[in-house]
Amino acid sequence: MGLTLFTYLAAAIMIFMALQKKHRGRGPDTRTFRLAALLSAAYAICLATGYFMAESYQDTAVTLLRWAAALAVASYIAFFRLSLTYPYAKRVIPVDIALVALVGTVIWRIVFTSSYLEQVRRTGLEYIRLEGPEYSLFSIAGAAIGMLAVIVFFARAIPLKSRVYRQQLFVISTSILGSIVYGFIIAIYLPQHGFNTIYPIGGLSGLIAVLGVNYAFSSTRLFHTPTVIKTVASRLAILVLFAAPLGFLLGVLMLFRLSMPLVVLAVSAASFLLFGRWADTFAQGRFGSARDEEAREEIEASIAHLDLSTGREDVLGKLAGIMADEFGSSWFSVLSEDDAGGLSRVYPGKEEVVVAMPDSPAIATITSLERSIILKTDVVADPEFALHKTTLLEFIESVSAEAIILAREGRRIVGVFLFGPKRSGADYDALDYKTFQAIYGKLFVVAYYVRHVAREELLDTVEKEIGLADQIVRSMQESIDPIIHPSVDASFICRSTRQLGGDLFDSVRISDDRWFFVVGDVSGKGLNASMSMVILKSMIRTLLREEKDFIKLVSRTNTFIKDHLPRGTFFAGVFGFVALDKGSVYFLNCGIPAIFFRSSGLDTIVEVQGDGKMLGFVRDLEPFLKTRKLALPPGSGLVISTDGIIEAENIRGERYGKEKLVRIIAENKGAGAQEIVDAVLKSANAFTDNKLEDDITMFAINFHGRKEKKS
Amino acid sequence: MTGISIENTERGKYVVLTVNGPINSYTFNELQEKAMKYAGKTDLAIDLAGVSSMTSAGIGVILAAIEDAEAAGKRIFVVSPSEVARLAIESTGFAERFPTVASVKELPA
Repeated sequence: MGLTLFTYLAAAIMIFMALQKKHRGRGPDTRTFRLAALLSAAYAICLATGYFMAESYQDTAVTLLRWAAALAVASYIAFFRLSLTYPYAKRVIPVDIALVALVGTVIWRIVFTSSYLEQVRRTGLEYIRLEGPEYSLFSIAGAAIGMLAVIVFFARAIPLKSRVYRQQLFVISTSILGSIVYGFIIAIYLPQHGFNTIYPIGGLSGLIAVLGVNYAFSSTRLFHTPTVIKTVASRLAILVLFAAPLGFLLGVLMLFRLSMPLVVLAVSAASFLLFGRWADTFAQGRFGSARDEEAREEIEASIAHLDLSTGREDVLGKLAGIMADEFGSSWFSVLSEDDAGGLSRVYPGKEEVVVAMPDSPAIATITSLERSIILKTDVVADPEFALHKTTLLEFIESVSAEAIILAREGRRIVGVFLFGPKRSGADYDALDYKTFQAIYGKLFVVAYYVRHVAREELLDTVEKEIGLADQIVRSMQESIDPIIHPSVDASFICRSTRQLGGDLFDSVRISDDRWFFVVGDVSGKGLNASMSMVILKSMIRTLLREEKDFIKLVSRTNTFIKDHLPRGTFFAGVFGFVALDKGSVYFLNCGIPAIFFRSSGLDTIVEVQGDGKMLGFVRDLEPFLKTRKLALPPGSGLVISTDGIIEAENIRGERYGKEKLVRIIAENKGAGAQEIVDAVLKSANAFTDNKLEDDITMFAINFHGRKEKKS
Repeated sequence: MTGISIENTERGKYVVLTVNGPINSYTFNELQEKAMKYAGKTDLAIDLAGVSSMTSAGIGVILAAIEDAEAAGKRIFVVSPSEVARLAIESTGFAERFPTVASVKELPA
């Protein structure tokens, strides 16, 4: 009976796939797929239940098994219907009516007459069925309809211009063929030759087709053949080294009836939980993605090591060389935001050429996109792009690109990287997409450099190397919305001990009375830390535009650090939200060591930061995050500091510590925010004899009480 | 400025890096160089008993080593962190991300 459990499991998977939301946007094709998947699931359930009941309730079993056969044929009819129009989602009502009539006829003949199946009986594993006179006819007809779908999918795929659609149709065609072959062998051929034991898993046949179509629907990128081979090799390794020995062991247990099916399932599940991850890591390390990741890290390192001091032309020339080597692009081009807000081509060529005017539909479209990496195949085949498909394709065609990467900062597009067709003639595939994702952060820095720093006239006036990079950092640090409001005065300092560092302060105006702010420190030192800071600041601004939920904003920032910044990068800081209209500040402590609240009424200074969880340590940070609210009565204030001040040490190895910080804040209780920041810095410098070793970021805000802001 | 010393020994399958002195923005490069040499390539233990101070730079190096080791399926342990090293690790809020043993004798075989 254990085998029927697998069939029920397959039915559950098919129902789950049918009800997924991700296939939205394909209209009638989605409905047809859902119908086919649900019919396949119903077939599996009827088959398994009918087989199960054939021992004691033969009449019910016959009815169920007849329904199973009718549903199997109906599911192939649904797949055939899909083959007629996919991927263009057309309505063909006369055909639909004809197919519904055909399904009705099939149900009538198979379920309500005995022409297909007359009787069944099962004793233990011995399963006997008395076939009706039209059993073979319906079996062959069902398979023939499925084969017709296979042929139509295959034939329609060949003339398609879009390679990704062609690939989708081939995948569907192959999976339906697999389903038919499997179903025929397990449910028809073997029982007719006296081998009935595995008959109940005949219901799994639909799963093969449903999995194939489900994959094809969601696949908008071409296979990368070496990746497919590596994936197959790693799966085979898991099969041979892990799954097969486990299956053999369980088989022996079953053979000697030492175990109940449920126990076998439990042992299987426990084995996968205990050893599955190990087996996957083992296989991936030898055949799979671990090797690809090494290659991605190499290209990241190549971009990170570009010498920005050599000038725009040289930097972009070298970047083009790296891209040509890695992706096999026939050409590579860079667009940068111009002063008017449009996009101009800055590479190749010495003269900037306007590609898109600020008010052009292309600019409006690409600024509204949520994705930053766009393959032409995605635009063609992914329903997510349906709304912008025409404009996007026009833009892509106008620049003759096959892939584009958008470097964005909030609503602005800082730069665009264009990749020409591959020299091999192939399209950009899923592996290329992953590599684009991996290098996105580094490309953003290059885009920012091109937009803000790499003006030829600047090259003569700034220092080389670190001076240039420092320009980027300073430019980013100065790019904030200062908190200016009659109710408050606020001030901050970001100071790196080595000119470059990961210290980060940003404030973004949300409304007349509300500001978002972030204070913190990105780990690491020097150029790497400052580049991570630049990327992170930009990403937080971008996420702030997309994400309304405070906790999710921080959680997504954490995910970005894990996925896109170098290994070992973390962020210790605080995310805050000042609501002056409510006289409150909301904050999420992510490892900031000091938030001091100065209470006007009690004339005391209280430490309020609580425990914090830094970003970059775990993939899912959301469960650890908790927003805190602090009322700001008139005369109160906040001082927030990273560890640079508190952990500063003097020549005797003594720490500056929180006590001294509190004392300085207390001594300056009537002072303005800028004076408080200056006083703390002066005190720390005096303590360390002007030898502060760590980056310093501090933010002070004094609340004067609610006052109307003059327009 | 007080320097850092890193001693490199082998114990069973592990390479043990014994760190003495402060890990800060001036000294972390040396630890980074040695940790990156072994992390993910062999089982690694980083003995922090002799660490006199540790800033975020040191945490970053150890976190990167842990992530490299995890990605490659190798083992990595922090051994006997000094009080300041322990406090630095705990300040992240994720002390559990740093597998720790009390001495090199307790490293799993």
